[in-house]
Parts: sequence; C-alpha cells; structure tokens
Amino acid sequence: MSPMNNRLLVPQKLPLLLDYAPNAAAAYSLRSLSNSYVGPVVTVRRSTDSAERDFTSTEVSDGTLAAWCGGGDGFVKTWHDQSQHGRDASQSTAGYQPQIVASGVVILEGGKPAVLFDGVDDRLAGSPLNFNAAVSKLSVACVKAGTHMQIRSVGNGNNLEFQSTDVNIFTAGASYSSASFSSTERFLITAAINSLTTFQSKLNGALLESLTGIGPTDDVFASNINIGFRETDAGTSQQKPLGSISELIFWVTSDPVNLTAVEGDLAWYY
Amino acid sequence: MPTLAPKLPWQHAFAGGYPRRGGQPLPTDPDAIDYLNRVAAADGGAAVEVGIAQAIDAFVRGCKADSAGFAGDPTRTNWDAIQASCIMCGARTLSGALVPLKTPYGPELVNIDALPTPTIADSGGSAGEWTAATRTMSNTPVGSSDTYPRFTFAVSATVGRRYRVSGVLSGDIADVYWVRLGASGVGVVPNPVTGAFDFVAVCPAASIQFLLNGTLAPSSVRIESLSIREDSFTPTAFGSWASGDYSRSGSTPGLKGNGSTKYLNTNRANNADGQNDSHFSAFVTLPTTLFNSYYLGAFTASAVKYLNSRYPTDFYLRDGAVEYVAAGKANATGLMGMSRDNAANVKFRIDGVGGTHTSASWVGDSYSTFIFARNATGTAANFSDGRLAFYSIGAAIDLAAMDERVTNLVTAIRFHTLTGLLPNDYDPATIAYITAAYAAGGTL
Repeated sequence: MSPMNNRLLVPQKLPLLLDYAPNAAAAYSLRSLSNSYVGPVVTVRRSTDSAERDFTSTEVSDGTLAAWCGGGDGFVKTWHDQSQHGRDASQSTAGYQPQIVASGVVILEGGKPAVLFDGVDDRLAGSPLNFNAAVSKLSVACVKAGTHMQIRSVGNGNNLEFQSTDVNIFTAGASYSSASFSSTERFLITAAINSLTTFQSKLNGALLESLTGIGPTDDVFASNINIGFRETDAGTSQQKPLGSISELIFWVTSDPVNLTAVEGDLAWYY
Repeated sequence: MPTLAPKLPWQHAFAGGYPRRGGQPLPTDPDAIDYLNRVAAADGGAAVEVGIAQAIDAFVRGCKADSAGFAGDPTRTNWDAIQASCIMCGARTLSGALVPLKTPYGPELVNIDALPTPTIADSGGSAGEWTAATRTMSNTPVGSSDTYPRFTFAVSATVGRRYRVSGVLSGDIADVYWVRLGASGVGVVPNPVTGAFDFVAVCPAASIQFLLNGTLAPSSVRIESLSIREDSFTPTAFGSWASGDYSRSGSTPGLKGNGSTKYLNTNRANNADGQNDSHFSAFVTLPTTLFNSYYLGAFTASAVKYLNSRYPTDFYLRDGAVEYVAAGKANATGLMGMSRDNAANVKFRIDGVGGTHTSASWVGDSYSTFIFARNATGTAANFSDGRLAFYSIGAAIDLAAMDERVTNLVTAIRFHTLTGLLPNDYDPATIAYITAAYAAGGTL
C-alpha cells in the first residue's frame, strides 16, 4: 500500500491576483484578490433600517448581499483593504456613502459588481499611502467608469490622479498629463512610477504616455487615498463625476510590479 | 457580458488568453500582421485592440479569397490588385492611419544563392558566358557592340507592376553598360566605384537584364547581391493635417479634408498600373459639401481618373475618355470607384450599385494620384471637405467584392469601438444591425 493513501489531499487553491503580484500597499475590490485574505470585502449599510453588515466576495455575488438589502438600497460604509495593511476606505456619513445595491439588486458594471459614486457628494477615504520615488516604485491598477480619484499629498501639492479623460501627475515642480482619451465605457488603467524620472500610464493595456523628468527627489505622496473625488489643498472635495469603480490596487515596492500580468488578469476578469 | 479582453492591444502578452479565463483569436494572416505591426509602430508603440485587429485580419483574408475577376490573370485576387492603399480608420493616431496597407517593398523575388541560368544573347562578335558557381558573367572576345553580350535572368515579377531593383556588382564594373528590368527600355549604370545600383521601374517583362559592353572585353562581372521587390507607396500628407482631422471610429470614421489646403499624394503614378488593367476607389463616410470637389483624382493631358462630387446633386466618376454621371449621388457614402480590364469600357461602383460605362482608356503618365483633391498636372486643385476611411489604387479588381469587404471592415471597427465586442463572434449582418442601432442612440 502506498503511503500516499494515508495522506489527506487538499485541493490546491488557484492563485489570485495578489498571490502572483504580491506586496500590494492597498487593494480594493468586490472579488477576492488573495487566498491569504479571508475577511470581508465590503461593509454595507442598508437603506431600510440603516443596519450594517460585512460581506465577503462570495456573498456579494451569490445573492446574499442583495437578499439582505431586501427591496431597498445598500451603501458602502467601508471598502476593505485586501492587502492586509489596514488601509480600509471608509465613509461614516451616510449621505456620502457610495452605492452597491439599488432596489434589491447588486449594481453591476460589465456584469461584475461595482461601487457607484453619485457625482454629488459620494466619496471614500483611506489611510495615507507613503511613497517616495527616491526609494520605491509605485504601481496602480484600476477598473472604472467615470469618476475621479487621487492620491494627494496635501501641503506640497504632489498627487497622482485618474480622471475619466486622462491620467495626471503633479509634483512639487511641475505637472504632467497623459495623452487624453475619451471613454464612456468601463476601462482599465494602469500606471507606474518606476524612478524619479519615469511615469508610464496605460489604457486597457495600451500605452497612453511615458513621461520623463517627473520631479525632484523630495516627491512624496503621503496623504489619504481618496476614492471617488478630488480633494483640494484645503480639504474641500471637488470634481465628483458620476461613475463606478470595480477594483483599485496600489503597490509600493522596491521592484516594479509586473503590470502586464495584472492587466491580463483584470482585462479577462472584467 | 463581454470582458475588457477584446480591448487589449493585440500585441499584449495576454491578448490571446489568460489561464483559466478563456481566449480569443488573434490575427494570423502574415500580411495583416505585417500591416498591424507597422501601424503599431506609427502609433507610438500602442497596438490596436484585438477587436480592431480581428477586423483587419478578416479584411485581408477576405480580399485574398476574392477573385479580382481579371481575364488576363484568373488567379489574381483582390488583394493582389490592391497596390497603394490606406485604411484610414482603426489606427490610434493619424500617423497610423497613413501607414500603407501593403509594405512599401514587397517580398524578395530573388534568391541570390539560386539564380536561374540566364539566357545569353550575343552580337557583334561577343561570346557571353555564365558561371553559376561564382555568379559571374564574362565575355572574352572584343566585339563591335557596346550593348552585348546580354544576360537575361527570369524573375517572378508581374508585367506592369512597379519594382525596386538593387544590388551590387564586382569585377569589371566599368564594363557594365546597363542593368534593367525586362529586355527593353532604358536601364541604369552601376556606380563605377562601388558597383551598386538601385532603381525603381515598371516591369516590362518578367526578367532582369545585364548588358556588358563588348567593346571593352575581356570582361568579368560578378553579381554580389541582387534584390527585386515590388514597390507600393506610402502617401505624403500636404496641408498641415492635425489629429483633429482624424477619427478612428465613431459614426463617421476616417480622415476629413478641409476643402482648401489638405490633401494626400498617394505617390502612385497614374501609369504605374496597366493602361487597361487598373482600379481606384475610396470609401466615403461623410460626403463633401463643396461643388466640383474631388475625393481622388489624377487629371493631366494623358490621364484622367477621378471621383468628383458636383455637390449637392450629381457625382462623376471617370477613367479615360468619358465620365460617368451618377445622377443624384453627390451625397453617396460607402465605396466608390472604377476598375478597368479593357480598352473600351470601365466598370464603376457607387452607392452600392455597379455597372459598365463606355470610356476608352488613356495611356497615362508619371503624375501621381491625389486624395482629397485632384492632381492637375502637378498641382493640387478642387479640394474636398469629405471624410474618407479608405482608398486603394492598383490593378483591375472586383469592385463589388471590394465594396463588401471594405464596408464590413469599417463597420466592424465601429462595432468594436462602440460595443467592446469581438467582430469575429458575429456575422456581418448582425454587426451592421447593432452598429446602426448604436448610431440611432441605442445600446446593448
């Protein structure tokens, strides 16, 4: 008898995005991004009685979330960070919370659950994301339709923002904009700062722009991750277009992330 | 619901598929891939989406499957007939839109290591000899003719096509009188120092000929290298075209003229194709609003070929002696053009309708054909402000089949950009229906 017969064989889990593109600094999605993360992906407040509950990715898509909301709406109080760095993006003011369920139906964008921002006052704020181009590489991937978001370093004006028409980077010394594009549909954006002098952005996997000379050595992004809006230096929200976000991931790493593989994963899932 | 995968650049590492998620077909036709690669380079490295690449691949394959219907060469396909051509939609930028569909220089026709045995003609006492092992042409006795002996090598070139011929000779270079395509006409003299020659010529016969000067014998000339490639044409843009003049998709994709200064020189001489074996066409997505303006035109004393709008009423097409009047077709869109395979009459197509029109062929000259204007003996005139998504010039072609292929191509590109879906997954009628529904304000 083979010794193998005495062993318990456990099916190997299929690798998820953060399993082969690890070391994310913050990761927001309504699907599971990592086999090592077992917590909820979202905390929802339902409109019928303002009760709140955590939901896993399976519960978002298998009808549990919709059933819990009954015939009412569901709003995102917290979009949990699956990177396990605790950079959850939250909104405690009910009126500012983006929507995930409408009249008992999970909001879909391209057939996949998405968080919808109303273009008026919806927004989520995460923890500061420290990045210094002198020592780290920044990689970002996002599937979205419409809406702004931003990493903003209040005080010195450094930030990186994804708009619905271009990708911008602002440094202490100058600002740079990608080639403009127009998209009314879902699209996939990736961007990378791989050194003090190079910034590259891609739309649906195609190069938008490679910029050089992006700024001086003290460029640091160290403010909240704002999702769904753009915040001024004074902390006032502005530019809040209607739109949805399905997934948003940041990596701050010593080596560049393989964004080509990330693009493949996102494009074939979304 | 489609994923974003059809929007990935077709050159993306995961464009063809992703583990456990699925796959989608990528272009496989070598000529389509060659074109798409050149477009990507012109577009700054960003290849077009898989959906658009599929549409172009299907177009090239379709043209190769369509017989040109040319009695003089039953094997000719529409793809063979297309020479100077641009697909002016789908590419990401204006630069990409002006990439020629076919490579400026076609496949190499010469295998330098397996040159055919030449036919040798002597005169005036010459005695030409060929040594295959060393690719050497020689002549020992001193003759009285400075153009003999002649060494003629068969080449799989097509009579009437334009070829670039280049190479290097060594040995008694000064004894080479001419190198020329075919066995008639004027040739070129190799560089007396380097032995190099490089010229473009219309092929009068399927051969290349080397003429040695028999009066300078004894002579020995080695063929070090030889290249013969068909020469298509990259257009030259005149008039400060800008990115805003180009729309890669949308309801009216294409490149829009301004009716005053902007035009393209196809660099295709109006006699590059046979006098009785030629075509020209353009695909209009937005009609011109100018009276007596030209989408395409060559207009000289010996060549008149044009697509001429007499907005707002009639449209005139002409190849040779007599123009064809398409009454009430000034606002026609889609493919329009003419194809000639004989001296007496010419086939026309406009607004989905074709026919035959009596018009004697003209001999043509070396002036090239313009797009968005006519070439009036070297000067652009009668500019158009219409929008064109395609043009082609070349040998006689099946215009109806061409119309269907180009229409499907342009519609498929619009379909993908509107829906994000793959055109390969739907038949052309479905694509046309959905695209029309989007144009009317609907969505899937």
